[in-house]
Amino acid sequence: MLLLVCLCFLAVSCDCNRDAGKEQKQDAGPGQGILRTARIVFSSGNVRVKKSGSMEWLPARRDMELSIDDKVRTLRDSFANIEFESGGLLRVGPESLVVVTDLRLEPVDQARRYTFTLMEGKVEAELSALEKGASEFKIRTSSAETSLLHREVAFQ
Amino acid sequence: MKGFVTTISLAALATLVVPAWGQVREPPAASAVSKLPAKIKISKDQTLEEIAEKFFGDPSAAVEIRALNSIADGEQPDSGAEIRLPGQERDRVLTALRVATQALAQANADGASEFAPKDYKSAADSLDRAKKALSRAAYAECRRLADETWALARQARKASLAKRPKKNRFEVSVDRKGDTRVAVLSGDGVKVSAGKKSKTVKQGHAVRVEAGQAPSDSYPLLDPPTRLLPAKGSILVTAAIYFNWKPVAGATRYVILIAGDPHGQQAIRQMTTENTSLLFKSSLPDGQYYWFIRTVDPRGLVGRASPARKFILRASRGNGSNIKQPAHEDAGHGD
Repeated sequence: MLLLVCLCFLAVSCDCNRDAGKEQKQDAGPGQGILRTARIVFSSGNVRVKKSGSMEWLPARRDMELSIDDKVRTLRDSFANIEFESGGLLRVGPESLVVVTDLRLEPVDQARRYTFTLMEGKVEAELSALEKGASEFKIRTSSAETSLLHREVAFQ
Repeated sequence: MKGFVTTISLAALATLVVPAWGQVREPPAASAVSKLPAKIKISKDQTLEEIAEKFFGDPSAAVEIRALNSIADGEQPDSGAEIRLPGQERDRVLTALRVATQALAQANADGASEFAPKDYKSAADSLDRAKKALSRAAYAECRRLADETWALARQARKASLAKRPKKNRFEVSVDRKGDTRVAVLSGDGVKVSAGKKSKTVKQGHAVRVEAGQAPSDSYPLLDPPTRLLPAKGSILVTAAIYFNWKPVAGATRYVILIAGDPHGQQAIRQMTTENTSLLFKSSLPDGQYYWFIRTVDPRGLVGRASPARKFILRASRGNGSNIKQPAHEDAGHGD
């Protein structure tokens, strides 16, 4: 009987964990839009890319595609530029580590949701104004989240 | 002090004037120009190109000498013939033409050919007419057209900057302690959230977030330094590149970036110093580069970048002699 109660408890807690996972996933976004890719358009020095699910750090090359959970590392005196859709650019400075956290396009309203996580180092983002209301562009670090503000429309 | 003197002389060695239309040429010294004869006699087998090289350091000035003396294209005067030479006004006209060409290039770099095409074309046409006037030795007309080109190019640049979409640019950095710095260089600004609190950061401002804390109040970024050396368009003929700038109040460090393009997208080397000069022992291959400088404030925030400064590295060909320092760019036309 005790064993049965324990098994039931385990089953419930597993479900709870699964739900919690779903919530996290919903927050992160997968499944809510079309997954997009970014690409490396420039690299100088020693730049490495670790594809999601792989253990290997590959040398970065031009036009290399990046998807969610891919990582880009730059070593000393090294730089990389990551281009994403709509002409935006993320310049990764020397001795930095960046994770592609979210790259999605909402099929209904065409809103773009991009998030990069900066584990260490420095990045500079350059992109046009966020046009669609639901679009967002974020850079996360261990201590803060930076979101680009939407352009204010002035009526004259 | 001794080191300072050494580096200054190295800087003087490392730079050379680049004429506006691309060729590497050294202008004659001011004293040489002031001693120009108004007329000379052609000696035996002497060509106009040789005369142009001798007096103006530029064989292509023979075109102007022909125009001044009504000599047909490609023909040479007989030995013993007396010919007129361009006067001192030529030097001033060349300076005006160089400044106009730079203004047009700047307008182009700021998207004028795309976003203000009519204004840009007017300026480009005016420059063409100025160059034609120069080849006719019509110096007064050339100078007027060069000044007109400069004004039109500035107008085209201004129109382009007003029309072209304003890009958002912001920087995020995180150090080993986990402190984050966010600086907004241009555009609509950002919201920085941490510890359940948010701060809006507008263009030209920055915040710092210590690990586990709320964002600090935003504060203005420092301006980039001015009076920069090497000046725009310098040709550097030694592998040691001397950078120098005017100090900025409140700056604790300076960051220099060398890139392969005027937008800084193809970054090649980044260096940091606490001084207002830096001697970079370059291992870069010969070629064309751009450099930018930014300040770092006591909080570690990096300010806006200076406009791109082009330099051409010719270390493998240079012998370190016979070099002139171009006029300081900040002394000329500015914004």
